[in-house]
Amino acid sequence: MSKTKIFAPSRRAVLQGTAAATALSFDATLARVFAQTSGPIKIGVLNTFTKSVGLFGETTWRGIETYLEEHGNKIGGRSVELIKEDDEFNPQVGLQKLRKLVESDKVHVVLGPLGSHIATAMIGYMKQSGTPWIVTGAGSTALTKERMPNMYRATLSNWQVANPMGTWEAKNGIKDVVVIASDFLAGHDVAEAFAEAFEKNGGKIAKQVFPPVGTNDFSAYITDLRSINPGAVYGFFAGSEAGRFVKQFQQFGLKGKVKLTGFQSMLDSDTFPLQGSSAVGGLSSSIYCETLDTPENKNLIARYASKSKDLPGIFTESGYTVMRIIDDAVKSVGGNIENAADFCKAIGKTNIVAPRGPVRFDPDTHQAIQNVYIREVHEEGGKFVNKVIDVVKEVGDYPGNKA
Amino acid sequence: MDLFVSQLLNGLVYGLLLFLLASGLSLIFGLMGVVNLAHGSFFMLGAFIGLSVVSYTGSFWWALVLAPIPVAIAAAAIEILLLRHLYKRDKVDMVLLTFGLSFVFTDLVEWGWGKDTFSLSEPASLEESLEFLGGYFPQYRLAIVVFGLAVALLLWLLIEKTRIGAMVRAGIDDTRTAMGIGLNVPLLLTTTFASGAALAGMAGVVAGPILGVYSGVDVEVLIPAFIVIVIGGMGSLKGAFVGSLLIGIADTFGKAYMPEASMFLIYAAMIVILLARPHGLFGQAAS
Repeated sequence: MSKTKIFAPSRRAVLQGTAAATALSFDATLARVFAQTSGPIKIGVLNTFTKSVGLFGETTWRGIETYLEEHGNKIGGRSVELIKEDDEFNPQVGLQKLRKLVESDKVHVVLGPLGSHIATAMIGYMKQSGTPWIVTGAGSTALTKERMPNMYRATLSNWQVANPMGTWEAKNGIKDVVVIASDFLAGHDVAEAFAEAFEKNGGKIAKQVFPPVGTNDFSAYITDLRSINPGAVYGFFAGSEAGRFVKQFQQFGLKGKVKLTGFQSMLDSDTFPLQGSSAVGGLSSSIYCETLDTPENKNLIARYASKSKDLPGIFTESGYTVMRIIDDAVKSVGGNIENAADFCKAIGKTNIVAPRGPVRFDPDTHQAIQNVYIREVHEEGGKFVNKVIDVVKEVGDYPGNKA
Repeated sequence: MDLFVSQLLNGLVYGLLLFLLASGLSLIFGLMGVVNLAHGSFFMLGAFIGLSVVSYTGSFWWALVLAPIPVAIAAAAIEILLLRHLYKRDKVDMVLLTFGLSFVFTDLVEWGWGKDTFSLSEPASLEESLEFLGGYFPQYRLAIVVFGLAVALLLWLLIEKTRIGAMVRAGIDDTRTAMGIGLNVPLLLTTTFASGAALAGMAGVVAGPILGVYSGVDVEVLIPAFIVIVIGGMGSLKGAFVGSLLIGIADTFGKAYMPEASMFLIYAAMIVILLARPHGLFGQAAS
């Protein structure tokens, strides 16, 4: 089930390239560099394109395509070949597809995956292979503790997003919270990071519940929530689970009684179509907000409009921004992405203003340092959007990950 | 107190959904001796066909009425073309056949509708919530309780009070004698198998707005349905009903009050009941 999309250079471009190569051939050094760096840049996109979170893979992919279309399908002056693989949100499948990308497709850089359990399973192999790897999606706090030279995380760390929200809620009048999070790595990361900050700032965690992954019917948990009646619920769900939780939260009449707050994936433009008006008023923290009023974000929105009637969500922005990061790094090494070590160092020097705001990398853990936005869901002319109500500037990696 | 009632209702909703699946599974086992591992596939198929009917007609009610029909036809074809030839062979052959069929159905569904998780919306007339003992309860879930109880009552009347029911019971008690006194047992088998499948397909549509529609839902509902009939007793309608409600309610209260142990509770209940009554609460020793 792999789909390959090739942004092949036109015949004329190839002819010009050949002519240029001929012209340069008297210079041995240059010719060698050219031979080494000819052909398209191969980017392996390992993500989840099916199952309950398949939506996020698709929207990441659309972000990648949006960037390439904006830049004439070229990165650092070279054409691009994207190789798309679906890990089915399963580490075994993910590893298999990763081997295929690295060994048989010989990609220059791997993007993804979405699932932290898959990212964790990839660590050993990627350490050995040394292939440049930019994580997009997987948020496991411990991932950057590895401090691998060839791995950068261009997206969020669970701690980075959940911890500031704990502080913010405690400082904004919420006294007690029930935490309800999907029972897997990310859910526990997020619950822990939120609770730590919330309690440190004087809040009280009334209860923590971890429904199994794939729970569709939350009625028992929501009825229990009603009996505790806390100031707020802090939730971590993604994809169709987020859709159902928020909808059932309203159906059981808790909206308006208990404040709905959560991790970004619970109240994001990707999930609004499933949630409708039940999401309105919900608060979440995120590294991105689709209504940010900056030229970079307006540009992304305008370009994305041709792909989707929805506004870009965090994964679309991630796909778009990671291509910008690669583009800059390839340019700064003169197109020579084949030199993995130099390419990785160049990624580390990233200093851009992305649609989400300023992005650079922690020199030690390679985690992106970025703004965290506190957002509220609004309805505007029949559409649902997040609006920024507060910003925590330039949040870095979990301090415990540093050397 | 209202919370207790609310949780009880949540448990009833889940239990009655299980009953729609378990009743067919139990009757099929009683009559044919088939442990039908493809029964969850009928549930899944019904849900996906319902999804398509809703997207064409825009009506949940059409889906509820139409989706079970192709499921029943598929089941009848399976019984006539495949299962029938295995009745005289070892039971394991039939189990393996239905196991294989469940993979075929999963592939068919993924081929036809893809691997995504879909949402089936509840009918617009049942979208609201009812104010209820100081809380709210979604109308659609109350409708499931009413619907499930109605189906249980109808099934009971059908099996206990009608001629067809008498034939099914005769078939369950002693297939050979039933044939000896002139019952058309092959027709009875096909009809029961197809009706059980139709019921499962209908359950898929009813559960759609609550559990979602995706490939893989077949296994997720089949396992608790099997626990239900093991507890209730294979071949017993009453057992399927009592077992479904027990599991539904135990699961709901477990999730609310002992979330870490909720899965364990169900299996523990099953073990205790099996130790005390090896044929289930209402089952009979195999004849």
